[in-house]
Amino acid sequence: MMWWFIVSDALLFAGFLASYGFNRLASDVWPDRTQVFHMNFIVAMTFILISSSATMATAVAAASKRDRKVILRFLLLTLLGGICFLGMQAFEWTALIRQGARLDSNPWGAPAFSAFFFMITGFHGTHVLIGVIILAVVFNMARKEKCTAEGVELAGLYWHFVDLVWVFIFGSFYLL
Amino acid sequence: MVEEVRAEVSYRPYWIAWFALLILTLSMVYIGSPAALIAGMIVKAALIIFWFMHMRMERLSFALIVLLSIFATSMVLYLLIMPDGKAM
Repeated sequence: MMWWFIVSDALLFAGFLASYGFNRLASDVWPDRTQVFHMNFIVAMTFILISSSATMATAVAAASKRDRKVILRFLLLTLLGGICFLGMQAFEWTALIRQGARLDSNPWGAPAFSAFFFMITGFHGTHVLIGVIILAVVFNMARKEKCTAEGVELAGLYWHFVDLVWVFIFGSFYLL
Repeated sequence: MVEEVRAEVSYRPYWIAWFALLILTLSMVYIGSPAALIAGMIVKAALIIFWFMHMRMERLSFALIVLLSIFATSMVLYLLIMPDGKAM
């Protein structure tokens, strides 16, 4: 079931990014990404999300070995990575809003730019938030030895999917 | 899905994948070519799907259903619909 959710959610993000691309190509002006974003900060966010995916994969492998100590340690690291990413995203949003970026306008020209930025990164951030909640529940269950290896693996699949979506958001918004 | 107890599972491949993702991410920041960036995104996605999400351990028919459905829809979106934005 998790895979079918992932397929449908992937297609939803594919639709979002395609409509972003369509609007970007249709717009006469588009902001210079280096003037809007602080790339070092975004790379740090990406680094944290990739690392949290690696710690999650380690927790899933530990769950298949029933190595409780490693499961708990790596689930906690993944959880902290997720919280850190959310905090950094909130910081980035705040900085852009303070500079005048809104859903319907922004100081860099094309109004669609900030509309798509807030919608797509907001949708992804909501996925991260849900992932953090799932991880907290799984961590708590694993602590009480009530979580199966399959439960950890399903949480892992969702978490890796969140990382997978970020690969495309990072590429489309911050690099292209 | 991997359901059986696998005592021999190693953590090493995940950290090799992590390192590869990291190097790819950093090189993508400095490479400006759109084609190279798209290739980088696809390689990163493959690393996550096959290594972290264990798609390499799934049946081929299952992997094909999942990947082809996403690939086919994405191709319609990115190759047929998205480029029409230029004509607007």
